[in-house]
Amino acid sequence: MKDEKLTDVAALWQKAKTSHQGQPKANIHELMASAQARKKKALSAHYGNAVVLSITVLLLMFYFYYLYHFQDVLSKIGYHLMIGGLIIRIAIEFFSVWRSKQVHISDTTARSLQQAVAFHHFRKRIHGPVTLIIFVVYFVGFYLLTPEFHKHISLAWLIFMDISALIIAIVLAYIIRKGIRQELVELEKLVELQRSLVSRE
Amino acid sequence: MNPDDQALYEKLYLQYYGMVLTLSRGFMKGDTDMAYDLAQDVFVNVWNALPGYRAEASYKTWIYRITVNTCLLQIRKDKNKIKEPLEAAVLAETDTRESFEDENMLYRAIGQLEEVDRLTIMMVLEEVDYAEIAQILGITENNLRVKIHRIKSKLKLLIDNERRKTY
Repeated sequence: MKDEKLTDVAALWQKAKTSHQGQPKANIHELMASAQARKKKALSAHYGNAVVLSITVLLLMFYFYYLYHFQDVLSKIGYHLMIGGLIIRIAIEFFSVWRSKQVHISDTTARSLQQAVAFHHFRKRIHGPVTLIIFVVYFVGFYLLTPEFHKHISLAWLIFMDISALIIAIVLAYIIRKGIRQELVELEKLVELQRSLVSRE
Repeated sequence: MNPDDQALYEKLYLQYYGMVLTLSRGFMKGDTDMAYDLAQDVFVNVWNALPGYRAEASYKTWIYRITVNTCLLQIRKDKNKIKEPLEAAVLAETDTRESFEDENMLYRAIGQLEEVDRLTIMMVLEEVDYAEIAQILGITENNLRVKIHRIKSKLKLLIDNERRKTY
């Protein structure tokens, strides 16, 4: 320490340090393997949503374009809204992965925090208004299909289908809300860390 | 990663593991097991960041940066996992009851500081130059000096408080 204020603390620190001189727990090869495994896991977590959404889009396209030929203009608008919404969401997922890679852990703490805050601001927007718009567009698209569906299925099945979609919408709305809250909490913590870093008080 | 980088990684691991573990233990309030896990996380991040190393800072500064950022950006998310100093765990590794009390008291006091302050004071205790700490944190040296002065006063109060509680 460079002054006398905490000389005894420095002595205590050195004592604690020498009593715990640790040796690496993992050997270097295990660590390298673990690093690679974690990198793969992080990549699958990052791209997981995009893959699930892409499969959904492919299934919808197969269904709407090849299996079931909708005739009404309203229906065509409907399924294009559904597919379009999901495609925009997939593009956002890829952009989100790119943004997450802009947080460099080996940068200075001030810059890393700044990058992390920018990323979470972006995520807040994505989980908030953008997701909400895509969500509404998707379900509006779905309900636009119902008049044509009604020509082919009974009213009971139509009601069952619409209510099921409504339940799914409610569950998704809850998940979206939870996501927004988590992003906000994370953002607040990061901003607090930033403040703590630059503050002299 | 090419064989040269692998050799370099191995060298960095052996050379700086102790340094990273010391900071990790302080951040984890003396919990040795958590500190080992944190040190391992840091070296996983070192491995992933190594291809991007640009020699703008020394390896030591660079690894300190990764350690500090890993604590703040990753481990913080598992904040509830950070426990109070574990009496039995610490006692098992120390010589006497008195040194155990001292150590426990030190980690308790440091653990009450804000995360950024905790990491800053630990680098000071590790006798890292102020210029280097400023480079790690990305703030001006002048700002850092004011900050350290404040942290020292706060830590002194915390230590006095802990001493009163302990003895």
